[in-house]
Amino acid sequence: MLVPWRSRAETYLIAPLVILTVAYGGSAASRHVTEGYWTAVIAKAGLLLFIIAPICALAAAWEGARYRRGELHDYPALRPQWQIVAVAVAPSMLLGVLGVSLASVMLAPRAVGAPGIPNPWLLLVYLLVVAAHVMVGYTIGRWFLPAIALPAALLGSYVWLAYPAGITPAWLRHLNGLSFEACCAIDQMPATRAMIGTGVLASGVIITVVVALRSGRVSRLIGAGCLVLSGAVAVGAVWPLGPSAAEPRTGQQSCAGESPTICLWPEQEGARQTIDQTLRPAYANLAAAGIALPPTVATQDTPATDQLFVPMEAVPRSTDLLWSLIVSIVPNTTPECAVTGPHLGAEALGPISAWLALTAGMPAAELESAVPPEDIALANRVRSLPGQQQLAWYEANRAAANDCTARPPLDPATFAGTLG
Amino acid sequence: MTWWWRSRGLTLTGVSLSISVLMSVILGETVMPMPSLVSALVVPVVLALLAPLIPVIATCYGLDRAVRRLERLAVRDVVIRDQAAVLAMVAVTAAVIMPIWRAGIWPLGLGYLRNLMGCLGLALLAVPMLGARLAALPPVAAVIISALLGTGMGGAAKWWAWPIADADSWWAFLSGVAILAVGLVAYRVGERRP
Repeated sequence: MLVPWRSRAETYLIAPLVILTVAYGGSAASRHVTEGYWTAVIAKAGLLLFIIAPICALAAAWEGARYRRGELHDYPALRPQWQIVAVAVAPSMLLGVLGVSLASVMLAPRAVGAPGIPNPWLLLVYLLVVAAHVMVGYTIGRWFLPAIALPAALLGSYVWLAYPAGITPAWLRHLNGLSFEACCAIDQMPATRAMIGTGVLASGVIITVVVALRSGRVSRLIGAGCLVLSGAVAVGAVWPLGPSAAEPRTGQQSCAGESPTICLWPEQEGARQTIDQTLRPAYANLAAAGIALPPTVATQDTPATDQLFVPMEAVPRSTDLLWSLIVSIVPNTTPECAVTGPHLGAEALGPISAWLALTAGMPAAELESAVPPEDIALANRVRSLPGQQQLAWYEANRAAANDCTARPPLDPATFAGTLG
Repeated sequence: MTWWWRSRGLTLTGVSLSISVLMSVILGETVMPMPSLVSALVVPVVLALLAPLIPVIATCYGLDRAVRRLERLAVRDVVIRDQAAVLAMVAVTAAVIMPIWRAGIWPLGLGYLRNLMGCLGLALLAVPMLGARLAALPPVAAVIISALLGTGMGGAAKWWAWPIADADSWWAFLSGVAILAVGLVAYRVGERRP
């Protein structure tokens, strides 16, 4: 049953697999990936499944076609069917292992040096997905003539991976293993339900194929039963999920310091000094201006009112960190009244954000990329007022920002002398 | 004639062509993301432009079923029948598509017809070189390579990436016609009887 390497499809497909995986992996690595977080990097590597799995399915279909051409099914076999299948698809599976490894290696530079290890469960799910595509490809190869089987395996595998992301219902995209690529920010991890759904369906398909390829109607019935059962479990698992395959990260953040206490993920510990040096003075400046802030800064979003959620990367730049703090204090959200009508209060968001940033200690030059110059100019005019009047201006406009019908009282002259 | 029709699986080809056209009309402008190396990570490709691959695969399946050994001894010219069958596919599709395209009901019609011609041409070109068994792979590869490398920074297709060009691109349409012509000639030459 061992086939000379020259007639194995894998021999000819290894080059396109490696070239495409390296090129596409390099391209993906240069785009937005959560830096310094192994789980996010491995999740992003999942995008390459829609290159790896179809190529492996094609190789396996070729092997299935060889079995069909040899009419091996007409002869009694000494070995059990699963063993025959395993030997036939092993090289295609090895190709898949190579592809998944290469994809991870291509993305790895974005996380090398970060604490932790690549998420083994995600890698297992990827391998199961590839194995399922290999098994289906092999089956197609055994059942149909190569002229149909080869393109059908390649295209079918590709369409199943790429198409669900573009259609509703949203849960459908969590069954193919590709939805993890949009996961995860540093405070997120891959949704357990999505991993279970993908893993169970892939395992179910593998078992189905192995059972159904044995001769006899009973085997096919059992195979069909396996497929229905695994499909039902998988759909049940992913049903409640929305478009995102991310869920809040579990695990303990380490907290240190006071006023504020800053809680960070292990990946952010290396940057704690920068974070401390940026956030503490900003917090102190805002407190001196009369802004009441929660005593704890956390990098995980929780409903707790004594924590301020400030999203930040593993190694944040001071400017980004300061702006993230400002956005956390004044989130740019749309009030309910603005969903259907105008939102006049929105005019206040730019100026109050600019005032907060300048008050926190952010240099005006660095603010220019985030806020229009006229808002910065207005914030500077407000800052020329006495402290109490600045606070009154901020509080009035902060409250007005949520009002849809009235324009906010942005003019600092209105507040000049009111409290003096 | 009956034997030729059955050996080529032309009933299946006809059914797959009908399903493909119908599916494309129903799906309208639905897109599928495809990997790209040159612009965004994925480029959206209209499914109607990929659907012609279905009848093309069925055509290759029919050609693969041919018993070449027997056909060499046939009194009638089988190759010209194969060519006629391909041209008939294109003609029937054009006859169905053109009125609804002109009426503005299905703006992607011209793109479908173009890709049907181009992919059939590539498949016919591949038969003498790779054999009918692998002939469906070059059209599939053409689509994948066009998506991978054939878009500019703005997402517009490059001149050679006819499979993913705008449906109303006349240059891409002419490319499809030319590839079909080359494919028909190559098939004629490559499959000539000794």
